[in-house]
Amino acid sequence: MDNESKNILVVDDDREIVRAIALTLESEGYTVLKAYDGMEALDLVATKNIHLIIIDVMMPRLDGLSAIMRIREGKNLPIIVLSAKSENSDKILGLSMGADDYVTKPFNPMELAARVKSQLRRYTSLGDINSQGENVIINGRLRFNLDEHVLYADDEPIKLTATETKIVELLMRNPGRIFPAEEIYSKIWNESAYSTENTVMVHIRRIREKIEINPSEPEYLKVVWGIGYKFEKH
Amino acid sequence: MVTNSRSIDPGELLRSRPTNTFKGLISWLCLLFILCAVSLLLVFAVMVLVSPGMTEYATDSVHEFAGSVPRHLEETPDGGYVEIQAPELVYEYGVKIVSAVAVMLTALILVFAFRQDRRAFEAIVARWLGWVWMEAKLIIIACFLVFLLSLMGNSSTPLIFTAGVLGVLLLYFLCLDVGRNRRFFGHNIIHSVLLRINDFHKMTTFQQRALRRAYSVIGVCAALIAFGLFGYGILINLLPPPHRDKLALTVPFVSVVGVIGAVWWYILSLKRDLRDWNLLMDQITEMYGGNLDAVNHVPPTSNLYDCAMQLNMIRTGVQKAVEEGTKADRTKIELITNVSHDIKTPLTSVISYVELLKKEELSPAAKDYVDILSQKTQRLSVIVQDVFEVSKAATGNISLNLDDLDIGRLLKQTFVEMEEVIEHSKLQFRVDIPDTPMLVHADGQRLYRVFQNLIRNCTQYSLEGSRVYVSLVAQSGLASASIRNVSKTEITMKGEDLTARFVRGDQNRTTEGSGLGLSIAKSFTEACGGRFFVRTDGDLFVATVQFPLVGGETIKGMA
Repeated sequence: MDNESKNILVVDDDREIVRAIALTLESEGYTVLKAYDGMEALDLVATKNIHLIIIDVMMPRLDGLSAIMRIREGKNLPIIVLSAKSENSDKILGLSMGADDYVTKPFNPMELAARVKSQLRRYTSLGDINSQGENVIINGRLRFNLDEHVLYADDEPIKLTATETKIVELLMRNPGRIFPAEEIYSKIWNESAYSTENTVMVHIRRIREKIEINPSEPEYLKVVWGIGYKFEKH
Repeated sequence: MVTNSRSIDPGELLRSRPTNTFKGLISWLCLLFILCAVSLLLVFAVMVLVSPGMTEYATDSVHEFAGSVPRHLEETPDGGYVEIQAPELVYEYGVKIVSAVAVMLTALILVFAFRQDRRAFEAIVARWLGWVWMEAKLIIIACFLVFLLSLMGNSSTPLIFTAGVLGVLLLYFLCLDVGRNRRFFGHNIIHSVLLRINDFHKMTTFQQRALRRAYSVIGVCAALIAFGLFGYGILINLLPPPHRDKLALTVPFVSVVGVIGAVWWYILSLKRDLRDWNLLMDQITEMYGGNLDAVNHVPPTSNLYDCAMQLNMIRTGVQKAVEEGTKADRTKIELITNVSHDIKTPLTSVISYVELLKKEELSPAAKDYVDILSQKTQRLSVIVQDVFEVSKAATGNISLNLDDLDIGRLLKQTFVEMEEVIEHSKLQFRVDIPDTPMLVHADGQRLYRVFQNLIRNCTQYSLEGSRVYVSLVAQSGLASASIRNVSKTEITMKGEDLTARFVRGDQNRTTEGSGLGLSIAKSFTEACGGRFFVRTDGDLFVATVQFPLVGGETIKGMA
């Protein structure tokens, strides 16, 4: 793994949280730099070669969102925001300030590590995917190869059944469109649906468990409650 | 100083100046004097116009009046009289005219100079006039008219002048009275009697007051009718024959007018009472509808004033109580929100280090302990999130994403999502969801949380191996989903108590769960515009979620 060469800056005013994140990430092979407020973070960003930042919102001296805005003035590197606020509006604010991902406290460090990995992959490997000239659909950290009929998440192939692959292809070709379960059924199985919604629903749940970092809070394959399913555009 | 003086409007100064009653009296007397003089001149002019012969007599009497100046008149060819112009006469008249003009001018100047004070004085006079009963005023006017009638045959000049002056003065007072006192006809003997009879506001109940008013009007009417009949009977016998009938008829006429007035008064006061009733009822309706700002403005003279004021005070009290209640609730919820925020940070550390511990080489016992720690921290994390959500929903601080959605499909999706939980529970779910779509207007994500909580509730509190019945029906414009299960432990609480925050069916609180499941389900359902209720029947527990159907009924034949 080339994680050794990746420098990750972790910023939080709670030293124990910084240490826990650092331990988790170091066990994955990353090099971790620590800062305990926004100003320290800015200093480190200016002097060190950093590949990714994990930053808390509420901090003394300079808060996380202001720090992100200052960092964004000069650098384009992935930033993951940590916050105790779980409101949608807080998330939107964080993302509009220039953050790439938003993780609410309390979080599982393993999930954070997965997100770090995903962000780094996208950040470093986006260039070569385009140069390959393959027939692909790219959506965030997901890449569907239309020739091979294989879905990649963070450049790793996902094991999907034939039906699941068909569903993913259908949905990924129409990002943002809401598909009722019967429509998916009739398009995949080429039969009209008679209370077979459950089949589709179960398939979709399984796909979600394979492709989402946190299946209980899906980012890509979303349920539109009472209507159907859709593939979110990223 | 400069700015101060500039800010005062001169007109206001004049108006707000304290009025002097004495100056007012002088000015007023001058006005009366001028009125008399002008009326005398007018009467004189009219007399001259009516019969030129009067001139002689008039000048004569004026002369007599002014000090017996000898007449110097000469007959003119055309039959009139021309006054001989003698220097001494000019002198004599000149002095008188000049002094009369001087007096008039002085009076005029006084009238205008003290007009502010005069107006104030006129107001006082008008107030005095207002105290006089209408009947007395009518009698004075009648006397004057009788006096005028008696003048018809008798043309004694001083009487005519007196009549003219009296007429003008009476007219002035009448104008003053009518102009300033709005209740010219209202203030009369009958009205005063009725008011006196009904003036027991403090001592009696509303019913007694209302009855007394009705009876007093009936009594006064009866008295007036009796007075009219008796008066007519007596007058027809006593009066001399000519005009006897007509004169005698005035009495019943007056009594009829009195009866009409009394009935009119009764109707008016009844109308006022009913209007005030309406005001009170409107206020009660408004308050019942939740508008605690509704204040009634019943006038203090009203029969219902006490009641209205008490209602206003009750309103103020209720409003204050509600405000304090909301404030207390808000503080409580703010506290919960802050605390849940403060808990999240250390909880993050706990979860992180437990995860790190899991990776260490531990003895089997220690591994077991770490697993327990992991489970419990996970549960704590869920509770904190639930507390936060419920406090948000309770303050109405929740953002909704309302959309038309099929509640049946949502339920099916929920069951698919929760397949794992359901399989682990060893319960049998009997789900009866019709295929016809039932569209409701709600926030799908929240509604999913509602059903998720209800199903999770079933898996936690149901008797092991029992069946859970889930049904969705559309009836009378409502889609109602109900979940029935048999409780593991005896339910000792009422249904509505179970939906309160932190309340749990098992009093010893040993099971999993935050005690917020039903509370969240209720808050979210109500936030989306639905109804949520819980019913218990023995060990049977029934939770129902109701939403009005979009379009009022089931939409059939949707693809």
